[in-house]
Amino acid sequence: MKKKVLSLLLAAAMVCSMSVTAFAEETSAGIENMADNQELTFQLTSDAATLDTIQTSTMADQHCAAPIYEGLLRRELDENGNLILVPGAAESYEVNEDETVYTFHLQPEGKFSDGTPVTAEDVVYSWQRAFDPELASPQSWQLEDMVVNAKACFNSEKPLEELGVKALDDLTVEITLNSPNPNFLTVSTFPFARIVSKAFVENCGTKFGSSPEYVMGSGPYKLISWEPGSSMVYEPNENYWNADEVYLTKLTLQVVKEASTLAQALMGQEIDIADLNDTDWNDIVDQLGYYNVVEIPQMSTYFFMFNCDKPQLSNWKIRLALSLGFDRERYNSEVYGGKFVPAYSFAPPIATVGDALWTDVAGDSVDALKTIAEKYPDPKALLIEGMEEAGLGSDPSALTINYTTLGTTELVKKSAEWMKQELETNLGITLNIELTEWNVMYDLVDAGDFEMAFGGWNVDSGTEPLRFLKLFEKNEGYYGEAKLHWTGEKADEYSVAAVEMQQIFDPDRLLELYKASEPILLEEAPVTPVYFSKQRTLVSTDIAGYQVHPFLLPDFIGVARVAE
Amino acid sequence: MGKFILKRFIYAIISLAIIATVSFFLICMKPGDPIAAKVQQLPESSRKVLVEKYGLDDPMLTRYVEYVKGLFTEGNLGDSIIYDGRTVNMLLESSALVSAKIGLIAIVIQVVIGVLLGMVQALYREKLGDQVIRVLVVLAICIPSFVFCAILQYFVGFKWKLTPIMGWGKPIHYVLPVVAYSIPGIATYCKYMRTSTISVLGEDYILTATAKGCSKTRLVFKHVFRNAILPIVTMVPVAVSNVFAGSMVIEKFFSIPGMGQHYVKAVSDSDPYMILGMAIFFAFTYIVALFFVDILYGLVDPRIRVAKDTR
Repeated sequence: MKKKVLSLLLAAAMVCSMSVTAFAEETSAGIENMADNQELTFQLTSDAATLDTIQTSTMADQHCAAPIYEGLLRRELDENGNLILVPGAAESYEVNEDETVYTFHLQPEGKFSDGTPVTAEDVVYSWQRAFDPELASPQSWQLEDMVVNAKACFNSEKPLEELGVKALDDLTVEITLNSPNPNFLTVSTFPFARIVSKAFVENCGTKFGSSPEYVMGSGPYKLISWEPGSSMVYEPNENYWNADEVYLTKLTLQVVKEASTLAQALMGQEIDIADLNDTDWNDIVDQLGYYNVVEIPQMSTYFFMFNCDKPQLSNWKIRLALSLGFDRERYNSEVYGGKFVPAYSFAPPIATVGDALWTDVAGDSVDALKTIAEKYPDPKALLIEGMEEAGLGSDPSALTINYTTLGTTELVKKSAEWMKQELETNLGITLNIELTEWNVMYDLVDAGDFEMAFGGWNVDSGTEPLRFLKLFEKNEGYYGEAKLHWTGEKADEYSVAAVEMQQIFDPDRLLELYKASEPILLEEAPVTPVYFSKQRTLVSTDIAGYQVHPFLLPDFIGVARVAE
Repeated sequence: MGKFILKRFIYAIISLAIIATVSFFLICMKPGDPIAAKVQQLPESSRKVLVEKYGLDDPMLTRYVEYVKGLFTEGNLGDSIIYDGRTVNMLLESSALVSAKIGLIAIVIQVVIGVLLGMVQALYREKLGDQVIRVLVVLAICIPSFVFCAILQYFVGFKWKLTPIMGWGKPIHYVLPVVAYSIPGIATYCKYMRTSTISVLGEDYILTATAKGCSKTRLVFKHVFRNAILPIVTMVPVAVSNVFAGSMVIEKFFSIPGMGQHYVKAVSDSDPYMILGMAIFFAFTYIVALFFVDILYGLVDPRIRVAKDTR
């Protein structure tokens, strides 16, 4: 009898498991044996300040908005890990021959989470909001130069009706550009350009985006609750056109700022996806084996800058000696515990030229500064040479350089002291640390009232090295002649190249320009790269379909928990 | 009494006006561009829009008049320059309440446990229990609160799984932060209560009461407690006024959306009107607390009331 019951149970179990598998295969393209529990918790260090698409400005805003609102197109990673564009609210698009008129065809099944259809009128309204001078979107400048009349609308010179975004019929939108631009489609996926419901937003007025009852989009999830500063809970939007690929039943955003709290939550498996980059905790959490660790350098480069106007820094040999006078690997490991990636070029390892990775095509230029270091093996001798040329004598100990710090925190003090010791030991100069509040430092740099300072630059979109290289172009560059006072023939040569690289799209020519111009910058050394920041994401081993990329805002489509 | 309250009230208003004015000019004179963080990567034209929007180019006096006008006509304590649409009033409505909830519960626990322990210590002076509690009190006062946070989190949340490690929204989320918040306070009240009870025990009227044959319970609660509690009474309103500011360490550790982080963030962002608005609000709560201390003092201690009335 016992045996019979057991075999019956076994048979029942087999039938069940078969049907579950069949179901999984049917509905979840690629994801098998899904777990019963499809709830997921991910961590951010802050929640959104607003969920009004056009007002989202911080990374936190954009992460929180991404599952709720959908753009015309979406971005995801292909099997090679490259970012590609896939259909979003638009099922397809065409572009005319001179690549200035894009025609988008909306999903016929596209609906907002309240069940109303997504129409071309909603798209036009959403884009008009982005350029409405009264709403002053902090992000829309990214499209301002691309879309016809966008700038004029934003500057109140033309009415919003003249914006180059038109509804041809209920499901067709036409967007006209001033000139062809390969970045247009990518920028159009950003949260500020995503689609909102005209009727809903007009109903909410200024409260749109401020709390769950005033938030609604056409994306895969809808916002259920929002505890400001603490957590946000999302549930699937059952009206989503591609609801079959939305597997999670509940998505929780948990705000955790403190690294030790996050580490303990990870050890207790209370969180499935998190960014943890803390040298005290990384190993402890990693060795548990609960999480897959994905490390990606970001498009964010930190550098020292020198004021070439100051007599003691006017000679390039002195600046180059400073640039070569410290060990970037040790700086990263001893001061920051290996939190960053030492930089020998301005282009981070994820930078791309055309479709190729910078690290694959650039050859030696990836570590351009190392090549220069081989050319000048003795920085101290170089420094003395430079001092003599500048008429400063030949005694390095007579050279004093003031280092204006970016902030006054303990870590800043530690890093400045490390640098002082390193440069004083290696070069024999005196480095005078001036602890300065970060915003005061920017003021001093703006006014040209500094000698040596530390700065960084984050790129939100685009992976071309020129995003960094253009900063030092003398006229328009953010750190141009006005701030760094880098002048002379070499500076002019560099600036010509930097201007050209912003005007062309041919990858071969771009690579040529990068390889030729960056060494000029590094050798003349008005600035010198120090490190790149890196993102370190932990994804629970039972989560499938989650893609990590510095530019990808996860919308949790195709993400599911699998049975282990 | 009425005249006394009125006088105190006028003093409070004057102090507040002085604090607001001095803070405004100090913050505005602080070097550094307040919109540096926001505009670093924006084009120059956007920068101009922002400078104009917040009137950063106007003379300081104009800005002061504008600010005071906003404060009195709209009750607006200040807008954030860094985060669009965020105002001090908004933070007070949401975050300060969160901080206050934790803080008030903690104060009740602090006072009840602290006062009881302090009295027990004094009544059993120099006995073993007193010695042990004294050591614990010193430890609790000296050890910084982040240590308690980490220990509580590790044992209660992670090892024993009795509470969540962090989070906000459910009653269970109060447990760890309230305990972490309470520990130093319990120790402080305990220390004050012990000292003041000991000094009361040495008074002549206690000797008289004992000599009259007053029961021990009556002696402790009627004669000792009422007199010994005085210093605590003056401490509580000030502690209550501080709860709105929250505790940055505890809130950060337990991921609580309280006020502590915002104040620190505003300072590190150099967000001038946020710093100013919060400074004024905290000054306000402090002044109100002192105002209550004065009145309370008069209520609980007849000697003071009489003295003030006859002055």
